[in-house]
Amino acid sequence: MNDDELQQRLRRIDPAARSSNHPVAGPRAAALLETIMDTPLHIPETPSSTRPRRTRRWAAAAVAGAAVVVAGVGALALTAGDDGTRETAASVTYSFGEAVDPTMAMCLPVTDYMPTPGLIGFKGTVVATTGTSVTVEVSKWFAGGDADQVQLNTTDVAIPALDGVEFVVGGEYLVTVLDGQVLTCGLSGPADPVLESIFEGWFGG
Amino acid sequence: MSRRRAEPSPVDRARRARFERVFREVYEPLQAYVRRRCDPASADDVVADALLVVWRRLDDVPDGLALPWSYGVARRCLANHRRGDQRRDALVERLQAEPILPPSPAEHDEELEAVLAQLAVDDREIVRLWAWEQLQPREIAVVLDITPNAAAIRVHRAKQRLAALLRTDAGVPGKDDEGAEHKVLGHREEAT
Repeated sequence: MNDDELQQRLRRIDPAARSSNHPVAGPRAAALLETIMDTPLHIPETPSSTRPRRTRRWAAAAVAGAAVVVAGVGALALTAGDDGTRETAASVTYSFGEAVDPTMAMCLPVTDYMPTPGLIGFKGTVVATTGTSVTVEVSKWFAGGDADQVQLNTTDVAIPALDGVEFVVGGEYLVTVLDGQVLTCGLSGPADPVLESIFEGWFGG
Repeated sequence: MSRRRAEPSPVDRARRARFERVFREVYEPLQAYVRRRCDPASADDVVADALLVVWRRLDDVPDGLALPWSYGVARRCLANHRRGDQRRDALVERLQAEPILPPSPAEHDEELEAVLAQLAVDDREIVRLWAWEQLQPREIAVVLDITPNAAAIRVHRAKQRLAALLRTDAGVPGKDDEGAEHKVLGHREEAT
């Protein structure tokens, strides 16, 4: 079987052959086009030639098995103030990690990510780590909270880390949380100006 | 999340004009690409997500390669979509290790479908890009974000593996196919 025959045979089982597309000249396309072009450009403009790619590939090797289940259980807690009147927020369970998708062994580039309603974001410095928790003193909430500290309990994580980058005391991190899960894959990580500018774009500064 | 509206300017108008050109070029084939790889109910959302990324990253779209570049974006949006599903529905966890299955084929060719399923996921995607999207290796390179040379090699090898499996499946091993099955399985192990 030569290439042409192979290609023809494959095309006969093309599932798109029996589905219809919305025509580009139709009203649905026109509405989508306008909607998209009315969407503000959140990402701060930087020259593409100098913008670092913040793509993180799934750590098939680096995080390997751990990444499949990495399961940090986090508790978001308000620290008590001097007057002791502040209430501790209800505990929230966070979990790290995504199952490795064998068909898509790559994360979405961070600059491609579109914030989802309910996305939580904060910047903070790790002030303590234990075998089962990481305590982050929050310096800035981008959205979703006002606590002074966030505690990430990592009892089920072999190595508390974000995409393989370990939390270290004194280190500053930018963290996103959605649906109770810390988002990894480059969406959280050590703080740097590029990631912070992206956060500001997502959360409106 | 703030929603600032950009000030109209000649730059904005030029950007919109370019996006309209890209949109017209990619809208329909992008729908086909996505419909081949995800459930019909999600396809429109994934296409819209991909086009929004194209709009936001319009400056990065390479001239003459807008379509494969958009396929690459859609590929990542599909992955993102799946991750969202994973977060939302614990029941789906049992299926996470499974590749994205396309909808039913236009015609049934059980032998080919079975053999295609035996290919490593990377090979299968390359074969689909070649046969269904009818991309050249340099375009496949853009989709997969690899070098054109690497793409050419991988396309060649993927086609060879598919053809060898078809011959093996038909009980007609070719003279060059000795050990082909072993090689394919070995590749799958590496890929997964």
